[in-house]
Amino acid sequence: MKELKDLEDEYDYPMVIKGKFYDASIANSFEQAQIYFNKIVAKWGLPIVVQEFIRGTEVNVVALGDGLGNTIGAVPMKKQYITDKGKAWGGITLDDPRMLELTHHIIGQTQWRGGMELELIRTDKNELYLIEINPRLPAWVYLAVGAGQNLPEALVKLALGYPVEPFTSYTVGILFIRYSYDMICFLEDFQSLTTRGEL
Amino acid sequence: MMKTKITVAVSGLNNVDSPGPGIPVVRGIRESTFFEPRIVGLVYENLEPGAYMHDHVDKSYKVPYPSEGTDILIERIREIHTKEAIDVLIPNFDSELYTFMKSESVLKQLRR
Repeated sequence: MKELKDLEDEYDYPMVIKGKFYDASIANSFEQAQIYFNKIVAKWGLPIVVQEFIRGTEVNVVALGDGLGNTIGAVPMKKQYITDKGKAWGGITLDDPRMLELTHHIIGQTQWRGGMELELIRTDKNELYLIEINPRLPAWVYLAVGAGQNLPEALVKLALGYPVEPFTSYTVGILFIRYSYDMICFLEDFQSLTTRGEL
Repeated sequence: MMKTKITVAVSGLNNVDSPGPGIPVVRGIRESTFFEPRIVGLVYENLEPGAYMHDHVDKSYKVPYPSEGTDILIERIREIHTKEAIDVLIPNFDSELYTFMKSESVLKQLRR
């Protein structure tokens, strides 16, 4: 808690208190920060990430690195519709060379091998802040497929050692709109999974 | 062109407030012009919807949570592999990535 308090010298409130895998809350005071800290630790354990709150628009990139520093594919997206959990329920592909340049730089420097998602905030002054890297393909990866970059297929090819040419383009202005619907399932299927552990 | 047959195991077939990447990843692989995939679902919960989406996932297996221990999870993967001959395993949950990364050499040996 002392470390959390000491951050007040560096950051102003609000601060973002984040779990190591999931969950984030915006704290407007030290009291709130303490509450969120304890709540998230109880659920996800330590460490907790504390970041300065950056006001702006959330933009994301889905990308694939070959492990040698090359970017096999990358598609930037802006969330068009955000759920109360901060998840994208709709998004659109962007023509944004700066986001792509940043992605190439990160993959080049880290020699990233596999899928990744960059979460960025673009401020009113058009500055980009990297707030998170998820070391896996995101749930909206099918937007990249729809825009002309089948990154899951390329990932499988890389894993099996096939040569993969980097994607050089994607369609700008393609949208994804998410939908949930009720599937009708058989009780036998549910029983099979619960009792035999397979379906 | 004849497509190459492969078996791909995928997790993240959940879909609650925050959907898992499993099904979107499967959709991409299924649209491959190069591969003819058999998709094996690795599920942690009985009601992960992907397990019931038979157009996307050919067969699903329950697996223990990574928090139960790396050895237990990898042993279950080994058991599934004897039945399915998995070529590629794509973990899609943040919480399981470390376990699979740590087990890279063990998993590579399984494929031989």
